[in-house]
Parts: sequence; structure tokens; C-alpha cells
Amino acid sequence: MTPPRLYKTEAIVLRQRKLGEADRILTLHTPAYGKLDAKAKGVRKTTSRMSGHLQPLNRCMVQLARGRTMEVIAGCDTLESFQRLRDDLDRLSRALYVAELADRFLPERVENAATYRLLLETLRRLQSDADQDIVLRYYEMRLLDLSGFRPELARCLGCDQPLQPQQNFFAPAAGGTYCSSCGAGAAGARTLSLNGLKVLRLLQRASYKETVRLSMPPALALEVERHLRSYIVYMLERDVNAAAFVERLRREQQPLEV
Amino acid sequence: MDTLAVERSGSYQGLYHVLHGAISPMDGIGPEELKIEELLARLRGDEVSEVILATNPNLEGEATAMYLTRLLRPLGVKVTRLARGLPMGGDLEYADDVTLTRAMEGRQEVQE
Repeated sequence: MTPPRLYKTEAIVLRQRKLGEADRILTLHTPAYGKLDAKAKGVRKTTSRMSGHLQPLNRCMVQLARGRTMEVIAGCDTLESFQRLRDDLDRLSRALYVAELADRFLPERVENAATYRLLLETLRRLQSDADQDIVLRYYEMRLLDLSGFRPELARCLGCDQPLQPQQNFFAPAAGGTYCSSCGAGAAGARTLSLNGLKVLRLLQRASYKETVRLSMPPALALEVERHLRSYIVYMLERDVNAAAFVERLRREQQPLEV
Repeated sequence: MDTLAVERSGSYQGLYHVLHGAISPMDGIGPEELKIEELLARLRGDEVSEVILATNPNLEGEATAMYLTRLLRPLGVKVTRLARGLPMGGDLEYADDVTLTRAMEGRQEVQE
């Protein structure tokens, strides 16, 4: 959909970078126009009215004017500031991870109301008392699905047989699961416990309401996280920077755990 | 440049510790990239009664301040943060939610 010369849209600010002396380029996720970059002029000055409204993670109504090379933000009003995310280091670190994944997976200017809704719901869920890590795992699996990177979890990618209820393998390079025979020696394949497989399948097939009721022992939660992360890193062909901060905070909170 | 601004105001006569950046996880800037170890070393050495966090009032600055608070509180030193809120010459009408919240939180009794 080609937008008109001056138009209004709801947007969530994913990230920002400096431009010149007083400007910024913001990466926005909009429901109707997908992900787009827009210039915010003069926002680094203390007198800027817009700078507070355009902080990362803010959901706002922006007025955009089509410029020569990119849109220019003509005005904006905050719709939702996610205060509870900003006041809590652990929630904030996860929210930034969520924003970075959205930025990395979304192509520019492709309408995607589904990923916008997923992003918005996930930010709200991170504000709630739901298990933070389950919220992330659900988000990761849904985003992979919406981006066309759905991992195979039902059959063996080697022999095409349905997976047996035992330990199998998970190989990002192949796009999903291998059975216990085909997986041994397959490139990048790591063991996947039966419970790990069940959780991954639940994340892929169930609704958020069902998934969030899940209660995983730490070792299982870690296994699921590692498999999903390695899959994401393989598909994006790069590390997800914000993951390191989430992990560091977790490590520093529990110095006695291995 | 931040240091210069504070020094120029004349409102502070203590020591400075420059972090050389702010935590920005998406850009790969974590605590290791800042001069935090050096700050901890200074606190272990000198007689420090208060650490005033003067990071920018934006997302990265808040993240840095929260992280440092978590790190420094257990050391028993007083940790404070510069007041945030409305800039002089600003307009309440155009202020965003977060700015107004911070300004409200930091409200002070009016001295006659």
C-alpha cells in the first residue's frame, strides 16, 4: 500500500540512531506499512517536544510526511508508554530483545498487522506477571512462524518418519528435527530431550493462554531457550545483541547457579 | 561533554567518573563496554559517600542508571540520580507520559 504524502499511523518505536547534530532516524513498526525508518528532526535538542514521545518501545500515533529519501516525522503523540517495562531492568532487557528480534526479522515496508499485534501483545505481556521467559519463547516461535521460518517439529528431516517419543535431535541448519539415528552426526544437530520437543511443539501449536500455564524446571527452560536461540541466530545469520544483556542480568542475579 | 556541562553549571564540587557511553543492548553495548570496572575500583579505593548517577534521561541512560544502582547498592554507598522531568522553557501540554511521570515522582515541597 503506497501511503499518501502526509499520513497518520500508529507505530511502535523499535530502535533509533543518531543523524547529524540534532536529528535521529527511528525504526518504526506500523500495522499498515510494516517496518519503516523515519527521520525525527531536532529531537536531540533539550527543547524538543517530540523526543520523549519517540523513545524506543513507545507506542505512539505518528504523523509522517514523505521526504526525498525517507519519511519525516511531522508530529507524534504517545498512546502507550509501557512504564512498567521502563522501570524494571529485567523487563526492560527482555523488551529490548523483543524489539531487536522484530527489527531483524521484519523486511522493510511490508504490511504486517500480525507481527505488529504480536509485538504489542508481547510488550504488554512482559509488563504483566506472566513468566517472562515463557512470554519470550512464545514470541520467538510465533515470530519465526510469521516470518516464514517455521521449524519442523513433527518428522525427521532425514528419513521423513514421524518422531518417536524419545530423545531426538534439533538441527537449525536442516530447519528442525532429526530422529535419533539420522541426527547422530548431522551438521549442527544437538540432542533434543522428549520434554524439550513437547515444549517446542506446544509453543508452535498452542495459543498463548495455554502456553503461559506451562511450568518448566530450569534445565528444561534453558534447553528450550538454547534450541530456539540457535535456530534464530542461524536464520538471521547473526547474533542477537540484546540477548547478551538478558543473560548477563540473569547470571548476576544468581551467582551460585552453574 | 556531559562532564563539561555539569562543571559549567557550578552546581557540583565533587569528583567525576566518565563511563564513556551508555548501556544499549540492541547496539551491542553492554556493561563490559563501559568504564564500570574502573568505577568499582575507585569505590574500593577512595572514601566515597555518594555516587550521583548523571546519565541522560533517555532509555539508554535509564538502563545504565538502573544497572549501576543494582551493582552499587550492595556496596553500601549512597546512590542518587539527577532529577528528571520538565526542562526549563518546556511546555506541559506537549510533554509525554514518561516525562510527566518522572516529574511527578520527583516533586518537591515548595520552599517559601
